[in-house]
Amino acid sequence: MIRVSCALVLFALILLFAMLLRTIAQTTVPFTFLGMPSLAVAILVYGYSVWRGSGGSDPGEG
Amino acid sequence: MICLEGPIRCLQAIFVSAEELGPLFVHPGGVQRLWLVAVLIALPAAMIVVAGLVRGRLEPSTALAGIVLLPSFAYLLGNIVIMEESKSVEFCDSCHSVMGGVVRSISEPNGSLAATHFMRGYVHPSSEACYSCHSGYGIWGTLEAKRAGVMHMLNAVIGTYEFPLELNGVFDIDACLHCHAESPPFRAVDAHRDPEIQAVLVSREMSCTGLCHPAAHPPDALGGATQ
Repeated sequence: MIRVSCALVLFALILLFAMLLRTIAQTTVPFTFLGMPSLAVAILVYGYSVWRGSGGSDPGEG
Repeated sequence: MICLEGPIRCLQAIFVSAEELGPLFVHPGGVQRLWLVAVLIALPAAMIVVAGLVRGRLEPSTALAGIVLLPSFAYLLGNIVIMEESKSVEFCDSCHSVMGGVVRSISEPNGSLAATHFMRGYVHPSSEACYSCHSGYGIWGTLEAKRAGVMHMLNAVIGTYEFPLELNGVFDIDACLHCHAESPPFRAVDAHRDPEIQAVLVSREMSCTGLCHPAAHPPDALGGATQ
């Protein structure tokens, strides 16, 4: 679960970097329609893993 | 007046950063360096999530910072930056195939209402000329302009724009009245004081352009940049 969260956050951050470093409308669309939902899902997944008691590590990694 | 030196130079002057023109042109305040703060906050978050991806585990406090707090704050700042940057004429022109013709036309002496306002410096600030006229008055006007703008960007990316461009709905003349309503020359015009004309304007049955004033943009500018 932690890897899924991290991958989604990384994807969201790459879109954010792209948008901030080159502010044109075409880079804002993925930022708006993909980046923010990815971050929201990542936080939900992380929150779920914390609630399940495995927050911070994947099964077999902790 | 830069615009008297020709339309191309006039438009170039808008796209040149204020810093390049000199300290006289730098607008106080703004969010010029906020993007850098957002990047600096996003960088440690990126390093944390890369470590999490590789190792498969993170300390709870590190995970909270790298997955929740830092990215959320970076996105908040990113949103503020894009909200400001998306007001610029340059941003509108970045969807060049759709908006290129319209953006070029505002700096050409074609008699259109937009060009007349832009070339005489009536729209303030000139660097946000599109936004100034296409956002309604007050906070709801701003929100509506942002909502419409997001859909414009999406349509530009997925290519669902149809040419010639047409106004979606009725133009919000509050954008005109925001500047003109308190202007003495505007108030002195008989037609503006006529109760019947006022009624159809207030009810949005009639707009400023078309019948009384020239079109906002010339028809040949509405076919996109390639036409």
